[in-house]
Amino acid sequence: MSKEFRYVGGTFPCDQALRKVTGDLLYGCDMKPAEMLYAKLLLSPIPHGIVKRIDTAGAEKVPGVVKIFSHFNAPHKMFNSCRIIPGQKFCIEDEPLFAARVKFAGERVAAVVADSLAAAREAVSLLDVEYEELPALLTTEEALNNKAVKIQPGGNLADQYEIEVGDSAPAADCLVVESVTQTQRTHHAAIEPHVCLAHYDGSGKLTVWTPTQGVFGVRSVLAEFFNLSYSKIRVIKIPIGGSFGGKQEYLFEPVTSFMAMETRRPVKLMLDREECIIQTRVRPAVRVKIKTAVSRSGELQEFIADTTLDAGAFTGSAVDYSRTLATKAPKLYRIPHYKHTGRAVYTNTVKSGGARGWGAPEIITAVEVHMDQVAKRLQMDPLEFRLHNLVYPYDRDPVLNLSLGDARVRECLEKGAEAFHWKERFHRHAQEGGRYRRGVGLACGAHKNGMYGGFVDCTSMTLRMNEDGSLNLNASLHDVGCGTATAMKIIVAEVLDLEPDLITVTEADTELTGYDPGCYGSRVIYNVGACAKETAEKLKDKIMESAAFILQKPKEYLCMAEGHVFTMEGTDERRVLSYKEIAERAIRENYTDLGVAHTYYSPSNPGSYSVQFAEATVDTMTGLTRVTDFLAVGDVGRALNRGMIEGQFQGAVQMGIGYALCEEVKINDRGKPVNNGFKKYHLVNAPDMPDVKVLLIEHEGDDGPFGAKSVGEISAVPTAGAVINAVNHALGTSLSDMPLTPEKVLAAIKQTEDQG
Amino acid sequence: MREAAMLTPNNLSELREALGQATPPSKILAGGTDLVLAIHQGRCKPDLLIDLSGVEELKIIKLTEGRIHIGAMATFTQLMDNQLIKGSLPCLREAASLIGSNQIRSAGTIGGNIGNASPAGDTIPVLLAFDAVVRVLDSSGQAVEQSIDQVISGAGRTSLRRDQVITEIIIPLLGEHYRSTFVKIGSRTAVTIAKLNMALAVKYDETAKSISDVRVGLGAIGTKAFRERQVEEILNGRRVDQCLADTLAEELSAAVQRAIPGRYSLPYKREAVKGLAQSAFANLFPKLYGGVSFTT
Amino acid sequence: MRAMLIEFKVNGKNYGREVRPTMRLLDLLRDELGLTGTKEGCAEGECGACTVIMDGEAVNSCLVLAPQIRGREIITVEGLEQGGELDLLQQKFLEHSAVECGFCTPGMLMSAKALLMKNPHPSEEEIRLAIAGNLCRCAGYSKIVAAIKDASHSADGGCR
Repeated sequence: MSKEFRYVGGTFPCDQALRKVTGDLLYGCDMKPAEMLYAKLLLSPIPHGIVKRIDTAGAEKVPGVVKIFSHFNAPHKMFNSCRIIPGQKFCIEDEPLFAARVKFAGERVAAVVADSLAAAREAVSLLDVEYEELPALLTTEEALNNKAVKIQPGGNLADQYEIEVGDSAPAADCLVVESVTQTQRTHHAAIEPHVCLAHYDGSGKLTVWTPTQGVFGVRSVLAEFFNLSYSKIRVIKIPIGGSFGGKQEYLFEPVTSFMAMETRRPVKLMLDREECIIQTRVRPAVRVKIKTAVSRSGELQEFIADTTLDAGAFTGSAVDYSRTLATKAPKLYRIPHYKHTGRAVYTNTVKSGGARGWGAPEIITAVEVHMDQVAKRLQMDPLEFRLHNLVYPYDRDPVLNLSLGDARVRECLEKGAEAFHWKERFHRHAQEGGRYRRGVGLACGAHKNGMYGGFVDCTSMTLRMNEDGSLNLNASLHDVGCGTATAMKIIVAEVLDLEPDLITVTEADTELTGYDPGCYGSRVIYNVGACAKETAEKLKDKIMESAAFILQKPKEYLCMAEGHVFTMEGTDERRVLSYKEIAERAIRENYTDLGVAHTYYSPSNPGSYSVQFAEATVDTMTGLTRVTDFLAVGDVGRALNRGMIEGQFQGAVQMGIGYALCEEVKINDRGKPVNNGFKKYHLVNAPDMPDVKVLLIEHEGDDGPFGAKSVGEISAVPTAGAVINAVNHALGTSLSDMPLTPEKVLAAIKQTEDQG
Repeated sequence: MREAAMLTPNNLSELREALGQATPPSKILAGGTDLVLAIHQGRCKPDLLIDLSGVEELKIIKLTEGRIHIGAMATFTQLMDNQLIKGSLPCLREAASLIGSNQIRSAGTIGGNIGNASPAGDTIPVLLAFDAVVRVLDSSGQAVEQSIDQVISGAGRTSLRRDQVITEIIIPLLGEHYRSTFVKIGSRTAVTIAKLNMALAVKYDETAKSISDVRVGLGAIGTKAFRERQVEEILNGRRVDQCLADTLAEELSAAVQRAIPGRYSLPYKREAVKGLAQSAFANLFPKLYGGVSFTT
Repeated sequence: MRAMLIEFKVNGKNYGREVRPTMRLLDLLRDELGLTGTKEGCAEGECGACTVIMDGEAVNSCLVLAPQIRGREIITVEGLEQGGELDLLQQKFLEHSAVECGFCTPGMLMSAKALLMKNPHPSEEEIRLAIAGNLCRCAGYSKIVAAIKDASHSADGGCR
């Protein structure tokens, strides 16, 4: 099975790494076109109320202030921040540029545009806003129960649905287990705060520089919001200092563009950390109830889930996100009867939005915590219990009616258990006592590879060989730091057998690069990568044709290796042409351009899988928990850039441990986010991170380039479940109210002790 | 917004002159790790900043007549690296090493830790346990020694007048029979504000295996750190064994209950303080313990 | 404006500049000197993206006021490269895939550099503590720690 690759599977720095280590790469915060103005937002301090009046007199006097905006002088038109294509399902347009009625503490109320950031900041602090406060609904329960207060015109229920597949007939002697898991709001915490730069020039053209995950979606939203021609809007993806879904939605492009259009000067909006936490998007809090019926021998008979997702104050991506929760468990387990009821509920809290894994970490954490509870009731090793129920390669996803492809989750589990010495540790740690107690936990996770089956998933690119034999790949990439640009180079380099360094790859620019819906849905490696491979193959064909013409031999008599085209051995005299010679002569002698264009349509959407193993050590006296060992196993199809893939898993584990143990955007009973900076919103830092081992399972059974499947999102799906299961194993508890803070852990220990 | 002015004295006599110009909103700038943030966030709008970073006398650490003198501008990194502190005040070194990040420790100072008067300041319990005094200079050139308790009056508040500055922290060394330790619970191993912190110092009688002159400095409970005299009394003269560790744990728990009745954080703190007590005891008497921790 | 004239050194070069007393070192570097490699991620000394070296010690440039650097020497990420050659730490970060989105990278490098300047052969625990104030959301620290360790294993400890 093992193939000889020249570049695929090696380790390469990400595309702009050299400029990143020298500090030379310009991010949004570093860009400063001539005449640029700075914008600063005023955010609502209250969760619900009418903006009655804004006294701008003090602010206007600040030297350098150019203009002050609010709903009093801005359009009241609404947009949806995650709408990628016109008329997209579930994308209700209910977000304003500036609120006339604020619906959460942190919503945009006004903005000052000034010559300097200092002036803009000072002016904002002098804006005096009069609010008429309205009752705020801060939890989904309150929002559903209170019929008098409507956050959105249609009420507080944003969406509800029911999915059912299979037959309901669990045997009479089945074990029935019920669980409730509460997941929490979390901050994406990209180290780069949000930023956007826009300019509306004299010709009526709007240019927007933004660290986005999808330029064409931004353009579509802007065009329809401002009634501009798509051709008069240029959206350029600039370097992103991390996103994790936090920069996936078009949060500030509309408001920054509006200010640029009004002032006719370049306007830059840069957020600070507090603003990023309280007014961008959060991973939604979801309450998950699961009820399963399992045979005494450990086979799942029935799986019934009910989810309530806190959408925050408007729709954004909440409906799609909520519905996606129903699609994950059936990708992971064979379930004879599956039912999922779900709803998304508006509350007067910070807007929920896209986050790495798009629902999978939320639902899978609940599923995996539940599965451990079932295994415990069955007195079965959680590993064995899962092996009774996990899907097999080429099973069918009963909900989406798609093949799961070469789903290797069982192999991930088996090989991982061996490497982690699962059985031995699972039994050993259960016996240990003392102040510091250790436990191990595992969790399986399922995700996807692109949008095939329900949404546009095509991409267009061009590839051209230059006169010196180097290459330019022109593609709409949105590298968020995971190394997708380098992955494309590796793919093209492998096909054309030349150094990846000889290839330059573009990132997305609506004016210059081909259509691509964006970097989400775990679609980039699987689909954009496949496009790069086919495009390179197309160019290879063209190069061979050109060489054939120069050499006056049919191309079937030629072969390609190490940047050269050769006549086959055994024919008459051996002749060799370098790429440079071919490219030069093609253009000089044959008047031919060695360039190709290609559009790729995704043909499939297999599952991506990861199984993760955690060891947790709990200080039973303080409740402090540390993850002291970790193994992440990935069903990646084929590793393209090994070092970056390992890094993806290691970073995902950092995020997942935080999700399990400490991260939460907390909102107090007055509706205000309380941990509004990194002092109070703690990420796991280096001393608390274990050295995460990574094991990759490679089979290349699906349609991705060289068999590669997605990594970036699936890597973050099972982590929290593994950690929580390890804590519960250490303590004999069934904690499922996330995150497992020291306070909750201590309370649970006390409760277990009290129960004897 | 009016921009603040800044004075940059280069020695103590220039500092005195600078203090003479201070008004109520004026601020002393030490390491800046809290003040710069407050200014940037607009929470603090000083008219005048007196930057101490140029006053070399304030950076000196020396031993004189059984007392360690630490200049107010000694950074936490300096405290960690200083041989004198390492040898004579390991528990101050431990406290310094558990403050913030490396970057914070390189800038933050011991004088600033007192002047900032955070209830969770990590050096404070140590200074309390050692009966440290603070040397305060005013614009007239008069210097007085005050106890930590006199200087810190509440959360973020000190008794210092606007023309006064902390120049030195003076710590009387305890004898060779003393043992001391600093322990802390935060929400992470490193870079975390204390939820609880404590310095424990005792005189240990090797033959009788008993302790006396017990000193307990407790922080992050209530508005300012304090000496827990009641617990000290109970421990005085007791024989060192596991039972004593448990007594310390229970008594500290009761002390927390007394200090912050009805507070939201009480249920956690009164439990977790027992763990803090056991850790402190294990540090003082490692032979009694197996030395089990996260890292083993 | 109550500007103050201060003299200082950045990356080996002497400067004299008029600064506002409450200007942060971070803003002096980025806005006045054009050294935008130093990043702002939280403005409260928690993320470490703005870390620079001041007289041999790593500090958060968001928590230092510009006038405080008078007479002092600052090294920023732009000062790591010497004579067109990358610092060993920079090379190792590249080799070990320790760079992803890159926003934490300059600060991470400066913390690592300050560590190796003081302690050329740190243990893994010392490395992790030295970068405890540098948050990375992409890579989970393993590769960063490995890169620093590798740099420290070289003969001169990665320091020139």
